[in-house]
Amino acid sequence: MWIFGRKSKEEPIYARKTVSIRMEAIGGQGANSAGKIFAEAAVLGMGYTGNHFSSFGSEKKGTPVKSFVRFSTEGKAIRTASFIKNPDVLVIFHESLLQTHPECLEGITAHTDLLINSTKSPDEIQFPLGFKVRKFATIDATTLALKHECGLNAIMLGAITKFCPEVSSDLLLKTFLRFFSHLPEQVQKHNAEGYEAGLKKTKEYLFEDSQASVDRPPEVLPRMGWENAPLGGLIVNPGNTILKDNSASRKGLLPRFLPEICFNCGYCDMVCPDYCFVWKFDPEKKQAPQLQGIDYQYCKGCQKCVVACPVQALVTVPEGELTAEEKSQHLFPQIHPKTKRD
Amino acid sequence: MKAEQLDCFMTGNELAAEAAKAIQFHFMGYYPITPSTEIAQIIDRMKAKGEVSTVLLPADGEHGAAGACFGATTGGARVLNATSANGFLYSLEQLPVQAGSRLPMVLNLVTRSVSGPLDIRCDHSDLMYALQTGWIILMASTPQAVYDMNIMAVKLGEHPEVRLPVMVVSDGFFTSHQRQSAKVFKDIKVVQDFIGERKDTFSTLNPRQPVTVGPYMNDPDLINNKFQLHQAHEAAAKVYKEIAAEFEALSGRSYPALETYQMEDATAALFLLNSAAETSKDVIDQARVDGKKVGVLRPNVLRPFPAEDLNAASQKLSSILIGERSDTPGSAGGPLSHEVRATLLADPHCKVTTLSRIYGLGGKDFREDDAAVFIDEALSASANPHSIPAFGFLGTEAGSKKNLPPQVLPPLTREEMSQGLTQVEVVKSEGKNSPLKVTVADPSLLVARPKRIAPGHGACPGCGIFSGLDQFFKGIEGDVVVLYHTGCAMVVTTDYPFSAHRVTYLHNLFQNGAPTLSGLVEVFYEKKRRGEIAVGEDITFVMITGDGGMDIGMGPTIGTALRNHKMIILEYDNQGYMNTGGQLSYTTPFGKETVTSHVGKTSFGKSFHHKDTVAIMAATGIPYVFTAIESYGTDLVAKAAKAQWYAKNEGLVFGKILISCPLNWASEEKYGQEILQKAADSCFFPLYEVEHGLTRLSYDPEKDGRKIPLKNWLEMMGKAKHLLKPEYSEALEAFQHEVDRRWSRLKAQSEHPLL
Repeated sequence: MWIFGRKSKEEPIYARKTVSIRMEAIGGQGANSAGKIFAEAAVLGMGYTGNHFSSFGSEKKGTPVKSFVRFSTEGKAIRTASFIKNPDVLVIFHESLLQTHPECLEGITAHTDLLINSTKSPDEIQFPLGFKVRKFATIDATTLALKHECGLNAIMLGAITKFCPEVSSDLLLKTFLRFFSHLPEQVQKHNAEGYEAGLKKTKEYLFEDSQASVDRPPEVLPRMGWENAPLGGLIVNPGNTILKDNSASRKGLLPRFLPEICFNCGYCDMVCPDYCFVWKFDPEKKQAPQLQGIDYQYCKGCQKCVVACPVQALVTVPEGELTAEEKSQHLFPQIHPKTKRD
Repeated sequence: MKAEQLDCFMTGNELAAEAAKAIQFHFMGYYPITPSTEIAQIIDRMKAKGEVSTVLLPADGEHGAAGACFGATTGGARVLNATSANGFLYSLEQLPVQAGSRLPMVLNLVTRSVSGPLDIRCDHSDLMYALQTGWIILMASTPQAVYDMNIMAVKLGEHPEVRLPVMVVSDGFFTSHQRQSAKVFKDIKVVQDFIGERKDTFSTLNPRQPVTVGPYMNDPDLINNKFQLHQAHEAAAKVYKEIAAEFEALSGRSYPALETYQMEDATAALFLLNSAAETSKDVIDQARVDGKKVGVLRPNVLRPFPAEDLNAASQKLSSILIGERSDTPGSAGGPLSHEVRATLLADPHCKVTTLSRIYGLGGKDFREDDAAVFIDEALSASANPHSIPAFGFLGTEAGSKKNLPPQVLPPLTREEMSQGLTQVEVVKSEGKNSPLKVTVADPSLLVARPKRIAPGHGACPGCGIFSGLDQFFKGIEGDVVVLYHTGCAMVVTTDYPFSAHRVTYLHNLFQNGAPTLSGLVEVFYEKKRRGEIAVGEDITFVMITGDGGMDIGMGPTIGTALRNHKMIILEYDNQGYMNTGGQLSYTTPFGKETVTSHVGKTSFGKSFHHKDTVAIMAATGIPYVFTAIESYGTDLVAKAAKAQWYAKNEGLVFGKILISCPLNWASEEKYGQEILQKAADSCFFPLYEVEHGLTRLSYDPEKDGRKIPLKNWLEMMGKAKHLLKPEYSEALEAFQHEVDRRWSRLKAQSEHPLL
């Protein structure tokens, strides 16, 4: 059952004394820089008091990143160094995070403005039960970033300004360009264009009273605590990363498999870092393995296989071009009943 | 008089570097470890721009870094170091040497949880090991304090009555990566005048006045040396107050040894360190509005411990809750709780009830509602001392015994892992031929080998580690036990409660994997001998390490090789410390830009040539050494099969595979394999084996007419292509010369059985 939020008649007037922003992303999407830039614009540009702080794992793409900005428009000292639990503005850098990291929606209140990078429009997104926000917007930042050849964060920063009239959009753009001023002129031009696109292409909804449509996605593994965690930090069900979904690491491009051209040389399998290729073979029979397709749950879109393929049976396409059927291949048999795939 | 200052918006780490710029240290010895690494990175960038002249020494481990710092201080230099967690512990034995020798320096300890399990986030378990070292410990609770205390630290440590090394401690991520408004002195001369010139009574660089540093000193003398150390801390308490007052006059910022916040009429207090104390202040303000008489005590100085100030501040108190980001297991209280209690006990009139609470371990957030819980508990104890347990943890989760981790994949069977895709037989060899004949199935058939690593790991898109490791494991038949050093491959595959490893996996710290696995290998054979493991059981032991592990762990690896255990060590060389953000390793190519070898006005990238780890390992006399790259052929697969044979029959094997790192090479993800091929074509990374001491080329690009100049390889990597510019021609020439020299030598070795 899906119930959509209704659009309210008019926008409430902003009169916030303090503003807190939380950005949820995967490493490499630029949430850390976006937070830095935004906070810098608020503090050094607007003269507010504030701080910025990120939480990340090891310094790599692929791991979750949270970026926090707090500022006070009336000069109150910002002393809190902890995570922002109930943000005024929550920014989700990739719609996949809603599935892969459902905790990214933690702490949403009826005062929260929510911005999601998604190909969908706001009324097509499913939300957990009891879900309430004040304002909700989506932007197809992945496609726009590809189009403008800029970072995802350029688009997202542009879009965020809609939720933070406290920080002037021009000033934010200036801060953004200065932040990357060491990069070649062409890159800066693309960043500026991306920022403008973010500003313009956001699809917005104001919610009077939004409601839930689906249950919060179940966590793929049970919460581990001191009663049920094996001693010594042992992991007793190895190989369980197959429950993960790496789609949030993609930048909008995927390899497409053309089975009629493939002659099963195995080169793609030799170079794939994410073990995405699905083969069919019977060890009893002496028949050579046949490539069935790509398990897109794990594909991060690096395109190494496209370069490796000697006959162009693998080609690069925008993610949106792939059909659901093409995306349905899975490497491993379904074992854990809680995590039905598809 | 107050000096002119500039407003900035910076993190703790950036401000530590900013202070270092103002201080103009002579020397910094360091080794990368999250979250303190940035400090060296930023200073390196400043140096490339010509803003500082500090000598930066990227050591081969924290132990080495601390040693380098010690040496530098004996020469009367101003010295800086920065570290965290296990790096701090690895350098631990050097710290009392520094203090006992009374040689001032500054170390930024950016706190992080000590392994294991490995955790890169903040707690104070590393700091607590510092308490016994004899160092002065300053606690920087904000980014601003990091800047200010680094400056005060120099003056305090070098004071003639003190003469001690000083630690400036900030919270990892919470402070080190928190950007806040701060002020820095406009003119560094202000800082230079404040700290004055370093004055030493001796210098190891003055041959006219020879001294002996570090004697052999037993009883009855050592106790006197330690009494002097005690006196120095007594003096430091007094000198700190003078310096803090002087600094306040200059900056307008006050750092009393013990900060008292809302304590005037408080009946209950929280005793908290660093960022958590800052977080609690707004909550305290709210509690005050609600009429609750509660305040916060926060030490700016932990050594010497501000005992007098604490006694003075607790005169009117009924209760103190000591919140700690570290436990001392088995002592019913955190380490500081015991110090606070002992201090209070020294005052016969003190009737304060103390509560000890452990919170925020391993980076667990300390939120405002956590502070509110502490406030309520402290107030309860103040009303009724026995109303609440004296010791406890905040923020643990029980989980449910009914909810155990589900089995997701069945274990790999021996049969499915032993399909005979690779086969090795002993043949009669003559001259330089191998005594082993390896048969490898075609790549189209090798896809039938189940992967020992499951998909879903968190590596970057296009990461070369996992294609490289898979090609290696495609060559290995049967059961495998793996050990991974700390590094990218470890972190992205074992993010708790997930593990991508379908075979038994163990981890040990960065420098110690080889000995760890050697212990396991020996137990395997001993248990087999005793009949505790069935004779038919057969396991191949493989250690996986990055090039970083072969820097910090080189010594233990050589030791393990010399003992010739039956195991394989496979190094994936991505030419830098990519797990910590792309710092240089010793295998980073000459001239390549990394975050600790910037390109700028005064530098062209890494300044020394790449380490020849393969030659070092070959020199240990182990039966088999190889190099390989990921390819569309089966060279690496065949070498893995051979490695397995040697590890089962003769002893230790070392293999090194070059791996692409699109993130930190700034290269295109999709061209991972092509870049590696060019590294081989240019002879930067020759493909060869050393078998029983005989060198054999696997690929001779010269003979095949495929040899290319280095620049054709370097131009594919954003972090190396600057070397093609005319201004770096000298560096490129030097690099090409070294590569050609090593290649000629290798060819000679391959042609002559005695080389």
